Amino acid sequence: MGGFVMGSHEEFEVVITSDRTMMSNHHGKEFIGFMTTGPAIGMPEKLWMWIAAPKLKVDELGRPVEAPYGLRKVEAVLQEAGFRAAIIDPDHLHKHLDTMKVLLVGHHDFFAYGPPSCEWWFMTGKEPVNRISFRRFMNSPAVREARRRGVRIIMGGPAAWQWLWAIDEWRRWGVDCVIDGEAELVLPDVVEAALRGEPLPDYIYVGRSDVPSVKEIPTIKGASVNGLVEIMRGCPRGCRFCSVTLRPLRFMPLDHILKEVEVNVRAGIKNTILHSEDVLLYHADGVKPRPEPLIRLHEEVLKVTPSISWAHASLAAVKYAEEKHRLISKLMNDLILTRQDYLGVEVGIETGSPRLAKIIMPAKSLPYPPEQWPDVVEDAFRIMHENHIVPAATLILGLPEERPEDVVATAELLDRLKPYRSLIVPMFFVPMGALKNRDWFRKHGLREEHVDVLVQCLRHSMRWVGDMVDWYIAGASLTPVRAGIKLFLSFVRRNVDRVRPALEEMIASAK
Amino acid sequence: MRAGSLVRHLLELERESKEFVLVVCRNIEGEDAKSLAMEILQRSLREGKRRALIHVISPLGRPGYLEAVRGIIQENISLSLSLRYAGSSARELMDLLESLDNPDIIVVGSLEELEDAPHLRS
Repeated sequence: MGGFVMGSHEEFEVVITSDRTMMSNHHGKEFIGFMTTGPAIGMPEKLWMWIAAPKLKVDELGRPVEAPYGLRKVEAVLQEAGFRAAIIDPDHLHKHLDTMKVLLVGHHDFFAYGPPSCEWWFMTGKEPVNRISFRRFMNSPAVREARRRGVRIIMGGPAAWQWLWAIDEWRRWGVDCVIDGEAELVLPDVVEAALRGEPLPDYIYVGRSDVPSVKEIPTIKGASVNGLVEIMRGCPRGCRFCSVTLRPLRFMPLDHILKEVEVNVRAGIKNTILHSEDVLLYHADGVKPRPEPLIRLHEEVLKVTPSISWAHASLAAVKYAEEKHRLISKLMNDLILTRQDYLGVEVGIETGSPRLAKIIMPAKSLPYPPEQWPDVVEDAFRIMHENHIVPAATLILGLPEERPEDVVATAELLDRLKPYRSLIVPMFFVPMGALKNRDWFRKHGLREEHVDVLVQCLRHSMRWVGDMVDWYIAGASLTPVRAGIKLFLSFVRRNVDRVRPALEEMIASAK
Repeated sequence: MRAGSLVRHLLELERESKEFVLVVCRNIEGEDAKSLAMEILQRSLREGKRRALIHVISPLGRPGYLEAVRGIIQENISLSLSLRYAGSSARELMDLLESLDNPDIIVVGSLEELEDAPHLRS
């Protein structure tokens, strides 16, 4: 048994879903999805949710046209194993209560304990909408009825670890099992046991020896949100703050990638997001990008899809690729900019301090030495700016090894980055033990030297996002979304001057 | 549920695992969590196993015990782990030990804290 059977009389014993902040295409604009990590600011929550996480189109059974990529993998694994499994929109779960025996729920940030959600929560004192939405989902009539009927509830996804910090919710919502890690090889067995009514482990962590090989990873059977497709798993850089680097490095074959792109295109998705922790390391020589596989990848994908974006790239790879091979300008001028006006990507600055970089991410700058990290960052930003690549960059503040002079170095780097079109989002390191301590940030997390950096990031991003919003959210159909975002931006601009005194007051009150 | 019935329903992931019985009567934090995680890793690797199946006996109940052992889970990055709650009493501990094939036993806290602990002395 196997394969995906379309029909209007499908009965699903295994239902895969998530809450609205996950089950959304964010109006086709991936960056808007980041608004789901924040609280509703400057507008009512309903309006914020409409902008950040509108509902998906679904069929009569509640199956969405596009769904989160991770859930699509789960669906594919279970369908290929012969289970009657499907992703169902959270508003349509009630249609499947009579047949559902197992409910699988995946999420990127169940409880807003991940960055940047927890930091917006700390700084504003307001719950981020992803947390509110997930709670609403778990308390919904359909999920409560499923529980009452004895449906086995299994949680998973990149935020599975958060359940260890949400024991009250675990108990209250009757979760049967939590799976942390790449679950492709484990899940069919767990679901089989669940369907047989057998006791399940409470917690499963999938270690390196049990992750799937490339051959064991199925292709998605339904479209992914905004056309995201995985081109590789793992990352060789070994940064201390990153869990992805713990996974073995695997490159998806080109035909596997193209099959998934075609699934998305057939569903009417007009963009492809190449997902990797570092797109430029696809079939790289260690940490040195190689032109041939990247050019071939982009050529072949662009034969099938109208436009393309990158999930993540490393700044060192951007600099090396351009300096050694003129690869960035080649990809952009010869291929990408013939179809679109810009390319969006997430990048990691993390720190402007070579001292701190050597401690927390010694391989992030390779093949350049960590001492050159600030130059690597600026050069990469310049290359991206010149080639119409718009980065959304992260910084990490408050690491245990951080000293005040490290933060000063970061502030100096931010000054150098002013001329380059980008968003820069600061994130705070929050120790696990502090996740539920709402006072921790005020008393221990935020320090005086952080205030300059936070204000710089805000001013930098406000300056550039004003420049970007009209072309990023272009089109008549997106006029209301554009207006909503501009409403939010005008609220932030009116209040930018209050941010520094508010942060300083927070620090002073903690003394 | 009798501990023996838990053992019959192992997942594929659990079949080639190093089995442990972890008796947890208090939170395991900081350096204790690190050393226990290392202990579990080393004992597993010594037997050529890259997986650990941990049966937990704890008066903290389910899922409360997970709060106590999360430090061990989060210190582990190498092994595949499976954690199953097996009860809160001394009798359940004895039943579990009888049904398993010579597992490693780790006790955190005092066995006196288990329900019907005096049973252990008999």
